[in-house]
Amino acid sequence: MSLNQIEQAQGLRVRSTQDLAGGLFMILLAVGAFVFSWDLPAGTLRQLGPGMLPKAFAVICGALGLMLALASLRYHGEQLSGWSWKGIFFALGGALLFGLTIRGFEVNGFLARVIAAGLMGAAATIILSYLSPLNNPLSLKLGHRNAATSIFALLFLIALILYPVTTISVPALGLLVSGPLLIFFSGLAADDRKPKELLIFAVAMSLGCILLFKYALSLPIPLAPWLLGI
Amino acid sequence: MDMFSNLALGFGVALTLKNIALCFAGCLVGTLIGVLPGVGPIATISILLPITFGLDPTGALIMLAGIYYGAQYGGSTTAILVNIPGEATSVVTTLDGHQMAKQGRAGVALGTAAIGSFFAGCVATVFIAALGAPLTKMALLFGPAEYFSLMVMGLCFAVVLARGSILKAFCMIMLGLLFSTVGTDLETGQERLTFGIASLSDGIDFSVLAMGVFGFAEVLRNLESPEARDVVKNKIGRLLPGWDDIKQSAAPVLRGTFIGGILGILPGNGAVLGPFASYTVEKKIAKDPSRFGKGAIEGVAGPESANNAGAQTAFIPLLTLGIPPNAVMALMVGAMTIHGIIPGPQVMTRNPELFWGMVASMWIGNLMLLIINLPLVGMWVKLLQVPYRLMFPAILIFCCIGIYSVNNQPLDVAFTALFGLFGYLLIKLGFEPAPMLLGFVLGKLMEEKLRQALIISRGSFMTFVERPISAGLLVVAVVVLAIALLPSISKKRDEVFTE
Repeated sequence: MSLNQIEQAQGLRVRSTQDLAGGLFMILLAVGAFVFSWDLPAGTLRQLGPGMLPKAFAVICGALGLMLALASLRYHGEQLSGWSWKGIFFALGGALLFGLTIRGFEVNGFLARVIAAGLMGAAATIILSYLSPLNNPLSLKLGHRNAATSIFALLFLIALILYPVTTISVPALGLLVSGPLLIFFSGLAADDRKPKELLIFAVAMSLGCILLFKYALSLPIPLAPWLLGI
Repeated sequence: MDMFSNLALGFGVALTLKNIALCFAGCLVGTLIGVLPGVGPIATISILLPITFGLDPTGALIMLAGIYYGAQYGGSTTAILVNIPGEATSVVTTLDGHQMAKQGRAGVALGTAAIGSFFAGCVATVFIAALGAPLTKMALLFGPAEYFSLMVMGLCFAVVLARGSILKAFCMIMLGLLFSTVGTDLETGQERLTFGIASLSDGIDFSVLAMGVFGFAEVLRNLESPEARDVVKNKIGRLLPGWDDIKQSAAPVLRGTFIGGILGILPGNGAVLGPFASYTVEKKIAKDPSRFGKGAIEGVAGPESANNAGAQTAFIPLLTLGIPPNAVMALMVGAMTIHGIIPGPQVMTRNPELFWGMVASMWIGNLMLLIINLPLVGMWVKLLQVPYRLMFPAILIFCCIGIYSVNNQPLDVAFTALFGLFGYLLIKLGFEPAPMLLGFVLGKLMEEKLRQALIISRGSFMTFVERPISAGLLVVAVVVLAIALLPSISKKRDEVFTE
């Protein structure tokens, strides 16, 4: 946000998409917080209720967001830049996988069906694309990606309709499996990934973590309940 | 004297074999993680927090302090060798440090930084020991109203001293405060903003927030751009500065220590100003200012000493008043709370061995950094060559195991991933997340003190203005904000942070 007199005279237009988006984001959060704390009694200034501070902070956040959004119309600043979708998918997905498998989980009902279909569709797409001349869908080249997406969508729908699963339960896999799973999956996010190297690293690093956290620091983290019982 | 008997008690605690080993381990792993490019002290402490869980509180704090210094020093190493500052305070070190490294004097730069930091650390330790007791006595005069005003002042400083746009820093502080209200209400027990999720009823977990926003989000940020790492290929050269270097850097080290030590006590991240101020001073009084930016040893010695002195005196508000002055110290509050210690004046009276043991271990930690880092420089250089494609999965598994271990809750890992996404969004929108963490930690304390003060004054807000200390603190807060918003000053501020 720097002040520039000449630019200032040229009327209002979006000069910093980043600031504008930031302002709108703050307003959105503020409105959300305000709505969800609506039912909490604010009390009076003499006798603060539980809702007073959340509402007050929400109002201030909203006001600051508004100022930021308005400032983006007058002052120059940064522009929005691209996202690392691959990072979000693989790195955060890896963490989710770790959280889901470390102590196991169970999903029931329609959600289970969706997840099962999704997994089957994804597995089949990957296998198919390795067999086909399309090559590896993980390379995410645009043409290939579109083809892979449509294959996946088709398989997903077929599996969703034909495969009547009611419960998915994954046993507690423990650090012995969840660790390499996390490292390998998240490692795919790097542009210069090398699957073989990553695989070796995943195993070695997990063993190192097991020695460090489980034995040296004796944290109560499951190791491999399905195999070793601990 | 009191101070010496206290320090003797502290050294008695810190010099047990176990605690020396913990201090050593903390310094070592702190440097190990801190040296990784793009991983600053905040991320390092978040990542390494879980390895202290199995320890007793004293040992855990000693180790955490070791990790903190290690991370600081690791950050300087990266700044000098790779030209990537891990955090704001080592930005200055990259200017002349990396130039020295390019001229084949990386060893001398690292050595000077280590020796300067060690000297600053020694002085700061004595400073803490001397100021600790009187400040704690003063803290006992503080009622809830004074605490509240002090925190308001701290947050105002944090807004003013944050990097980048003041408005955005303000946004982050308020967002942190808003997040701090999630959870069960203190007085009525009503659930606030929990969306019926059971694990939110105790509020947003501190480590979930910190690791999501500083661990995961940093990984996402770094994955975005193919890395360009400019690791120095020249020889590191000899480590010990020669006689000429020592003569040149002695005065800057002294000045840097003084500047950094004083600024470090300021609430609201005064420590971050230390290196900048020291660099500016050295450049101003140098006979030949044009040497700066081209590998002047004063430009490494001064700021590095200021950095370390400030990093250490920042403990003073935390240990005596229980109020974290910056995001790293907010992290320390979180760590202490996990170990069942509520920081504040009562720590010194109730657990003197913990307090003084930690102060003493600060000095030991600084000594250890000097001893382990200089011989291990070769290893750090090797580590800097590990490609990021292997580095980030390792960071992720550390974070995940850590998060899981805080409460043995797999759901926490999912929450952390969510906060990782949130943190990445903040980064993309140009917000600096550190003030948010400070706001989050202070928010809970502030609400508590605000309500206590209002109960005591029977609901009158005048209490904050009528009590002299409280009024004084609020006046300072307003003045600081007003000055920062004056156009001429804010231009100067931009210059300081862009230099």
